[in-house]
Amino acid sequence: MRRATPYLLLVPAVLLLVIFKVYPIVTTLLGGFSCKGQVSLAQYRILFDDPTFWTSLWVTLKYDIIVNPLQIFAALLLALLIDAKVPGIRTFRSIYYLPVPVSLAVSCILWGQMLSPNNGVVNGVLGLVWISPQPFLTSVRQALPSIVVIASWKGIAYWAIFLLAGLQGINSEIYEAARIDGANWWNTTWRITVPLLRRVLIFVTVSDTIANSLLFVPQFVLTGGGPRLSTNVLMYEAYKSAFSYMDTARANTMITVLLLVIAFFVFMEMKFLKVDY
Amino acid sequence: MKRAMGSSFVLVLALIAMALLVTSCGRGQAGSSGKQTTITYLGESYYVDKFPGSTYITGFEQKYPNIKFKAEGYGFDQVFQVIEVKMAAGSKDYDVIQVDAPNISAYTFRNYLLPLDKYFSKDEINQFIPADIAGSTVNGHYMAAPLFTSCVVLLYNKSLLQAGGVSFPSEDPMKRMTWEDLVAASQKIMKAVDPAGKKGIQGLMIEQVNRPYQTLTLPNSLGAPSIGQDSLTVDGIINSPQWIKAAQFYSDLFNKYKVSFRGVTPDEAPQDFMAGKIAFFVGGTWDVTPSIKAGISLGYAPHPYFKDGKPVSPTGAWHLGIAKPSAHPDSAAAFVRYMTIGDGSTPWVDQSGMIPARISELNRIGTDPKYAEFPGSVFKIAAYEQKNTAIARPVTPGFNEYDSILTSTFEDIRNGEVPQTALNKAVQQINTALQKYR
Repeated sequence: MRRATPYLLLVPAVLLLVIFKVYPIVTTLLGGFSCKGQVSLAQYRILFDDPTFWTSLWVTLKYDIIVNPLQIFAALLLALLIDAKVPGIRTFRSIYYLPVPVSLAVSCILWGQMLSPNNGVVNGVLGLVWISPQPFLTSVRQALPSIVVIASWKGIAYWAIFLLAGLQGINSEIYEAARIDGANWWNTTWRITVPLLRRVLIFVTVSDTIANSLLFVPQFVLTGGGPRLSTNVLMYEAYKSAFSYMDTARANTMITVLLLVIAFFVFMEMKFLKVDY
Repeated sequence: MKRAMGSSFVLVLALIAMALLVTSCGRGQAGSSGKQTTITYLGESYYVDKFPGSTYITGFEQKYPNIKFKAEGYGFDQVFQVIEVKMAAGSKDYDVIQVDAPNISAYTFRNYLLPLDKYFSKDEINQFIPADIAGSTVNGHYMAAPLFTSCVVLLYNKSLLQAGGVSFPSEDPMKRMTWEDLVAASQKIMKAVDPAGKKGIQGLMIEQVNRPYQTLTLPNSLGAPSIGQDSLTVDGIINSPQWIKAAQFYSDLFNKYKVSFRGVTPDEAPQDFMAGKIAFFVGGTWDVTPSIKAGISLGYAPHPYFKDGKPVSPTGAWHLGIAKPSAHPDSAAAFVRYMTIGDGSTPWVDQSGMIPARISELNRIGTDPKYAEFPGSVFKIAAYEQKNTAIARPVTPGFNEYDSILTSTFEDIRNGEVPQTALNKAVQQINTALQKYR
């Protein structure tokens, strides 16, 4: 009984994981391999023949390749800044986290207003430095970068907190020793701080990759996947398939492909960060 | 220590068991409350929020004391997805669902709705406008009854027209403005009122920008259909020369004539009009009262049309249907009848700012003194349009896909994509999406 108690106490949590995580994943995977009640690759053949799928896949890859390194690098710089002892840092520490608790949908609506091509605040500021009004979310070239900015504004502070915790776990004597040896800020940061932050960086990198790959709220609220499918990430196309078109088979296959894409990115990141298993 | 751990474990198990017992008792009590039935309504929050204390809901509850009424509302952009998810799962949570006119066919195809043949006689169905009956009848079964129908008219800001030296459009449907005239008038107003473009004044705006509810009137006005005879074919239909001409005009509004602005959403457009920023507003009759309350010096005229085309206007609105999994179809039917052909119909329509779908009510608008003077007189034009120029959206099981893809297509056209290219891409996307219905 004593041996069984810990396992029995884990049962509710495991049950929830199975019901809300494992079961949906398994049904999604199986749903993609069935057509009219039989095991078949037909759904994947239909998907791979669909130009919209390939466009969405390319947009997803483009978005991930830009936003993940950008956010992690920016979060690291932010964490270093917050950790520094400079004048005014207390005030900065109280305001830098403000975007995080704001709901993503509300953030998107606010940014949509600010980026409006018709008298939006951002165009107003650009006008002060004689830059002509920009189309932002209504432009094929600028819509995806605009979403990168919105997602980063929202998320950088969140990831910075984890990195900050890691920074504050580094023994200060190591920095003293480096200072004595004549190391400058650049060398200290990239040869001491970053390597010692590796475990936290791995967590932040993997989590950030997954979060960004699944993000579609800006597209839902602001662009509808446009202009011209330039922001139509795979997750948004899968969402539309499942909940607007009620084509769950198409959604299942897309999500499976997305899962493979995320797994690939995570594998490459772990290789780059030299994770020892 | 061993004894303490053992008793803690028993205590935790006991607490869990008690919690389960309490919740299951609660569910049991709701089901065993005698003969009273509770029906749950699922619809758009714009209407659901008006239910508490309304005469039509109070009247229903008084007429049917054994039926308790509950409602759940969602925003316009969310309610369709909630309906799809819940109905597809066979949820018994709802008894009456609000069904948008063009979705009746799709919901029937997906088995979401119970036919109303048993609850409405032929004479009762014939009370409604023929266009609506045609849209509500699928495979010979009457599937949903209209709460009301909708109409779009040309609203305008008298102050801006006066400032721009433009005369007010005629209220006579035989002398309605053309789209071409509207563009010229809009440009004149913008040049006079906001020559530098700093005040954010638009000459012309369509309320449901990009949405087929209004954009379909452009190709329809040029004589082009919205979908093929089989309700699934779009190739050769939405990329026909008339469609390309209509789409080019739409693009020109934003990119060539610049009388309408990019980036304005369907939610922002009426707010911009009520803020006095738009001269001509092709909007719904539901905007009349809020615009007057916002202080706009409001005028109205019939829906515009192409010089080389024919007058058409949008129609179709919310219907009520009985959810197929409902455990209380008879009670649900009582509510549907009360709100569509019963005592609840007229007060609901009056409050909504929409147009009645019953012919007798449309005829009453022509004679009722309430509609003789402005703002009620707007509804006389709306009643005329319903009887003479209204054209319904396509009846197709794939309407959600069609609507979603065309909305994105018109947004792309608004943002500068070449119309023919955009429409050809839409054909390919819609063909793929509708494949499953073939």
